[in-house]
Amino acid sequence: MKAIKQFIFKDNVAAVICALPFIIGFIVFLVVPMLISLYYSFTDFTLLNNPSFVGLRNYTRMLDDARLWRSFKATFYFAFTSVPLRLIFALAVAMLLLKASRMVGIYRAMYYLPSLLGGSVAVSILWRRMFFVDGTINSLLGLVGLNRNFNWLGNTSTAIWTLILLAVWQFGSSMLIFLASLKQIPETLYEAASIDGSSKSRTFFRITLPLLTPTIFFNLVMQMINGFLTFTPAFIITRTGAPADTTLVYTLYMYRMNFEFSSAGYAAAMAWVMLAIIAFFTFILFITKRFWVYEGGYS
Amino acid sequence: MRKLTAIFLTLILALSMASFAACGSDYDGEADLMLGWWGNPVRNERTTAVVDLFHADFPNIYIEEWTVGWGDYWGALATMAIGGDMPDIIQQDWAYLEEYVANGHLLDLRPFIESNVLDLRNVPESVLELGRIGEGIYAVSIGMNAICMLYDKNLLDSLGITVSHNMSIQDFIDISRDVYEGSGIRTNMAFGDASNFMEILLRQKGIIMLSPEGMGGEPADYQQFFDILVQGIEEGWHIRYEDMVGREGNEQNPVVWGGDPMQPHLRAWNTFVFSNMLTGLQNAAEEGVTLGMTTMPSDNPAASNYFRASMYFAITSQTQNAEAAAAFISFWTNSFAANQILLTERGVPISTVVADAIYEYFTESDRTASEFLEFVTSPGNSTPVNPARPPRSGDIVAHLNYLAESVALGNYTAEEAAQNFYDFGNGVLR
Repeated sequence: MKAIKQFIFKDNVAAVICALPFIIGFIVFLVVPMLISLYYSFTDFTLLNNPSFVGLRNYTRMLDDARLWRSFKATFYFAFTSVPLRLIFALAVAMLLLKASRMVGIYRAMYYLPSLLGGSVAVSILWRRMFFVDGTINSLLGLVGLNRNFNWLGNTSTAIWTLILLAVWQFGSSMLIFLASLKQIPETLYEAASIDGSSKSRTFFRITLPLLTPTIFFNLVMQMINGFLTFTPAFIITRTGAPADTTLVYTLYMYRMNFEFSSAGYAAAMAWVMLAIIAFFTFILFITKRFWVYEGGYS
Repeated sequence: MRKLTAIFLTLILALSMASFAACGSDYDGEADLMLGWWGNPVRNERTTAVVDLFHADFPNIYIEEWTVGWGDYWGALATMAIGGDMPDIIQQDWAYLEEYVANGHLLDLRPFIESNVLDLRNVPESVLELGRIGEGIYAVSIGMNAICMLYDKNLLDSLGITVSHNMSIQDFIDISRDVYEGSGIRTNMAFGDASNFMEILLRQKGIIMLSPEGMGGEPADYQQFFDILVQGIEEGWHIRYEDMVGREGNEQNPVVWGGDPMQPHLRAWNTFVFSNMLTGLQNAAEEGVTLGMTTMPSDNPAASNYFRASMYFAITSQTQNAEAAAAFISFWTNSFAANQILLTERGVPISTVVADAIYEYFTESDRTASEFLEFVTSPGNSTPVNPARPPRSGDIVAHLNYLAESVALGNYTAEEAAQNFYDFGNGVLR
């Protein structure tokens, strides 16, 4: 009994035991399903049949899949516009909210709110109604005498922007992280700068921004992964990737392949390709890190 | 202590034995069933009413209901099939029936039909055959259906245009042009499900679009569809694709809804659907819209018209209560009271006795649908339906919709689209 007690209270063992709930969940709900999907990606699987092994066929088929390339285009366009816009927006709002005033708590909560709702189905439905041909946006345009017959969701150049706008609107979590690290910047640096007669923009670019680069880096990596994996808004707002596959983001196409086109094996292969793509871009970001991310101390 | 444990274990064993016994198919005893269907508000309401009626007649059988829209149904059902928690009774479709049978997910119903637990004595042999795959009968049609064109009757009347069955392609184009010139209201031949009209145009020439061997006919055979679409877009009478995106369900189908009456170009005078869709669309229609039903435009109507089971009920092989499930389908088919509620929303009832008896309760749209079906099923007016589409046809149909969109947007010519569609289809099927 005593030996057991001693064993359990060893630091390493105690740590493992405390982490066990997570480890079990991680294995059961992530590692095992991933391995199963890896297996499916080498099979002909329709969800209804018994999977049969086909080697690399699902992967080679991707090269000829024109729709897949359209979905890449939509996904990259979405990720590479929405992520920078969202970060710029988040930083701007964080700077504004830094100023101490009585209402600042309420403002912070209000600006964070969209992020709580953003990924939800309800907001996506709201978005569809807003941008539909008889929606709020057109009614407002009509009130000021502009053309109100434009279907924002139906035009091949504007449809993806309704999704980007929704993504940018959910800047709250990045904003909170920016806010926290803005507060970390010592006041003394700003004081020194103002004594030296530095202008506001110069202070921003020479002090604030360099000291924020680790945070920007973190946000960039996280948001880029989110951007590549976006699903709900496209699934609810344009549903099929309409118009003409311009909003057919990668995960939406994967979903349709799996559930609508009876190609679960192919969809599993798509998932692994996306994993490789995300790993690649994250790797690139980490390589560039030493050129632009400031990791020294403040002093 | 040991004694207590022993008693406890015995008790658990006894309990689990008892629950095993309860699971056996016991038709007079208690049974819990789950019924799954894809639906719309009208259908869901009527189905629930019939489930309640059934429960009143069979108080020991409890039915849990599960319903989603068509778009989510098959994905969810396939997931349930893997997980082993499929509903006992499922609504099935002609397009999926074969795949479900081939993978062993459905029960052969012949034993129940022979023992009359599933009483199909008033159902014509030809209708019974619609559920046959190979040797067995795996599904019971719960209504008959024909491909058709719905049109805004009041609108055409007000413009002095009369529609008669078996109109030619040229008639259709002329009417479309006249409607557009007279009212600004457009035509929809492509958006929603482009395969409905594409298939009709191929059937004119006796070509079956999708089969396990590949695409029927030649690439050029697929061009007529895109040619008509291009003509409609160029001349202005076809609805714009950009005005279709974002619409949902029957309520926003352009044949019944345009949003703003000042913008007639957001509406269409017609749509190509199956005849059972009339009830749902008519219910969703704006006031003043009465829908009429006629054949699809075709230069060889006898070859292109067809009818089939609108949908089926099938019993899944995962059920513990097959006999109770069969009793439910039997009730559905034969009960006057049930069919008085259902009418033709899922198609015209398959029992001839029931169909005759409930005729007096038909609403105007039920009558329209049943008269139309009578016309199509009379000898010489139609040709048997194409064989069920092979697996993965969904991919091909989605590509056809994409091509229709792209042609309407001017990204492809009709000839390119036809060739592209033909090649894509063969790539998936072969």
